[in-house]
Amino acid sequence: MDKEPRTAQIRKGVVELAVLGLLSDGERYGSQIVDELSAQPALALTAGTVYPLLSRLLKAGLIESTWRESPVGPPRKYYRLTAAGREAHLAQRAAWEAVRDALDTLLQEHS
Amino acid sequence: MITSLDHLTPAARAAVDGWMDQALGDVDADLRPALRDEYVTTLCERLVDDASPADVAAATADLRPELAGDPASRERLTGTILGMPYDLRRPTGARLSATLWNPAEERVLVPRAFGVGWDVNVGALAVKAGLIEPDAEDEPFASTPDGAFVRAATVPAALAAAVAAHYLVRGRALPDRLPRHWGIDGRPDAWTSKRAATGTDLTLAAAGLGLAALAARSRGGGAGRAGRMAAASGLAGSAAAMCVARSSERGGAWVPPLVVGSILGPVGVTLFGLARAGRDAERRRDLGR
Repeated sequence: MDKEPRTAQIRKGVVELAVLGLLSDGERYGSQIVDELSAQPALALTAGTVYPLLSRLLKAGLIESTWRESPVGPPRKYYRLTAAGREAHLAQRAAWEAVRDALDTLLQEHS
Repeated sequence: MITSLDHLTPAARAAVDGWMDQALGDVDADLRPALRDEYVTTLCERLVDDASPADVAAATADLRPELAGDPASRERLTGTILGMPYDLRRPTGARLSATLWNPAEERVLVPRAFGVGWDVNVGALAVKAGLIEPDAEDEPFASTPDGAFVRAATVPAALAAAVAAHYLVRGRALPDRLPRHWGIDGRPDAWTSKRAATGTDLTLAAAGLGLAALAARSRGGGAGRAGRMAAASGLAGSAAAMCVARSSERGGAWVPPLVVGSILGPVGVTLFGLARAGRDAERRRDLGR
């Protein structure tokens, strides 16, 4: 019964890194970010999570947005990392890898 | 500003966690996750990564002001009653617009900005209807130009004018006794004099018109200004609905949806128009057209 909330807590901590990681690979528009993240079932992210997070990252100056013409429809708003966002991405990624490695080691040693 | 509470120092994080437990403790369990997200967002905007516990106290002071007072005064302003959320803090335009227009939020029914129960998140409805994108504006109404606010004022102005015209043209022909209250079935169950009904409706319409004029003339504060304009539309819409409902002595099942629609419709149109204007301004900035 407690399993799902605990899993959700683990996911919550990495959602920001997931978005920053996607954008480190190049700019993307909102629904593209949602689609790519929702394609990862373990992250279980929906538009209702991603758009408020994009709004927070914008306000924090980690990402910036710009409208661009689309070849297949109306203009789309694209997001890209700012210099501060790139730094945050590297720092969070390093922290994540350190935690992941430590946990992997711990779990392997005690399994 | 930070992007996660995890960026806080352990002392500040402990202060936030303690406050959060207190703030969410009296809230219905179903509403806690959403409210918690709202608090997290606000605190992330207000705090920096080296914030102290004192900074946390300052940042949370106006979120649940009753928690800063004595325990006996808690639950007076916000909380739940019979499973329904309530918020009796002084309403602000910014809180009103953030509640009624939040396209990034998927839920259509959200705790009321002021009062008991739930408000309709018109932004979520607009997204579901495909009328606007969830991220149409970086910050709702921040880019909406002054001209759009002036144009938006025509909604409450037109409704107020219709109310005045109604009583001017039809006033004499109306019966001396008009409905004052309706039951859930839309049948009148209380009556008032024509004079009192006219006074009430014209006052509501005038209040809407006055608020719209103030919102149109003010500068800056996009979200607060949009909230005030939406409130103006809602006031004028309610006056118009009362006029129509009072025109029928027997009422009927059409009265409740008329009243709800006459408030929600103008509010939705106003906020949607302002948001579209904000999005268009962003597009012009970036696309040069």
